[in-house]
Amino acid sequence: MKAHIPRTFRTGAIVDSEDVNANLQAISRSITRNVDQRYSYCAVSIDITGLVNTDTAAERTVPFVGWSSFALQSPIDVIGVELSIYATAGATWTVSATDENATVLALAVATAGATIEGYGASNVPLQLASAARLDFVLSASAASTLTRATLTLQVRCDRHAQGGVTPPSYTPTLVDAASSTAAATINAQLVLAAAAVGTNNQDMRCTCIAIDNLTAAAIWRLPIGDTNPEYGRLVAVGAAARSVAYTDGTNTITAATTGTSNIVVAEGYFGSGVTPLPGDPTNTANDLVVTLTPTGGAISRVFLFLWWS
Amino acid sequence: MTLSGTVTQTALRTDFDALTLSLSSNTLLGQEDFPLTLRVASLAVAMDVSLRSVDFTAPDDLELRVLRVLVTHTAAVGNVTATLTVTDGDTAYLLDQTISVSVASLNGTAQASLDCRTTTQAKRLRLLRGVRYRLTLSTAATVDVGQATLLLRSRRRTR
Repeated sequence: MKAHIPRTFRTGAIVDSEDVNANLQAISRSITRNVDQRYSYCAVSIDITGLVNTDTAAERTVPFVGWSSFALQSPIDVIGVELSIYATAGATWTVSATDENATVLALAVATAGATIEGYGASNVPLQLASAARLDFVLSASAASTLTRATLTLQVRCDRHAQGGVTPPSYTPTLVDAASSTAAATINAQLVLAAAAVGTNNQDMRCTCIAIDNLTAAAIWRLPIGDTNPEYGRLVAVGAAARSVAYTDGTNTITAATTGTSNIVVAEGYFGSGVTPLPGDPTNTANDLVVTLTPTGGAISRVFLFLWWS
Repeated sequence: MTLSGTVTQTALRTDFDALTLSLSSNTLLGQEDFPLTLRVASLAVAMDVSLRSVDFTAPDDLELRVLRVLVTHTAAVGNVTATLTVTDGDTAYLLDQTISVSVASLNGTAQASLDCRTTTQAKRLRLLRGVRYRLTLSTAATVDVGQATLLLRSRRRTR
């Protein structure tokens, strides 16, 4: 989609009010088309290793958290869920979730073998309020240990209903050639158009870094493309009085555990104080370097959800 | 610029150009990248593929921007490779291309190698909606940490 204006005002040409109006109307149409393009999709892949059916419910929970403290807030749609498991055959693992609309997901996958994949997918649509948490709880029908599993969430962000706020539109007031205040009239229209153009322009994607049994500092290096990390949420489950800290060199988030039956969520907002990251993904010097460090002992499960726009 | 008095062509051109640029930027913001990462500590030769791979289904058409392998190890031990395949092995969904990248030597610091498809003449590749892809790490010898990362671009869609 391109933003066009049909008329260019060249030096020496006549400033015709019809040309001004044609441009204002073209901009209005472009804005409408632009805000109509509302969905953005991403796949959030969440690694799980060493999960045992006798682990606490909190340890068997993947808490998918949205973002908050963000000017543009949207409900988040989970339009698909995939569960891939590797475990000795003999049990069925089920991932369950109930969203804010009481929609229930119950996806059962039979174990096939320690090195043979069991796989299931669901397209039950789930919704998550922007600052809320949607728990995906894993449970097994019999004694079983997941040597490896991946929960993949197919996420759709809708930038339309941002906290119930309708995207701004722009309907120009056309310029009258006879107006004695043409400059002020055009000015007002340009200001209104600029406000509509510049608002509601963020589309969110999510990445999850998940690690089990975090015993020492672990580093991820993420290339940055045409995007910026906006918001991070750190989730920790582990024995009480331990903590895990996230840092990327600029921002820090710390989550302190209160016991393996509790899920502790800490959050950080990168929107202020963060150094803008260059957009060249080929230069590792531009990487977002994520370090997760445990304090006080091992942390059973750590999830870091990074939201990008 | 704020218009006043006689409205000139230059002033109008400047203002409309600014609006056009802003609209274009807003539109481009709908085309953004996000990473998908596989990190394996103590990546070993004999490690089962289930422990060194991650599968995902593309929720929408995704443009492959970068495939990168990054390894940290204390000594030179050999190649570590990141590969993108279709889970069921149907190479048609990757246009029969081999999507793979290796680091040739390791020296104790983070070493990276990448297949970048953002350059002018790079072959563009689209991961198709509904197709299940697999990102895999493999190694010639045990290394401390191996990381494979896909940088994917999704586009804003209409409702």
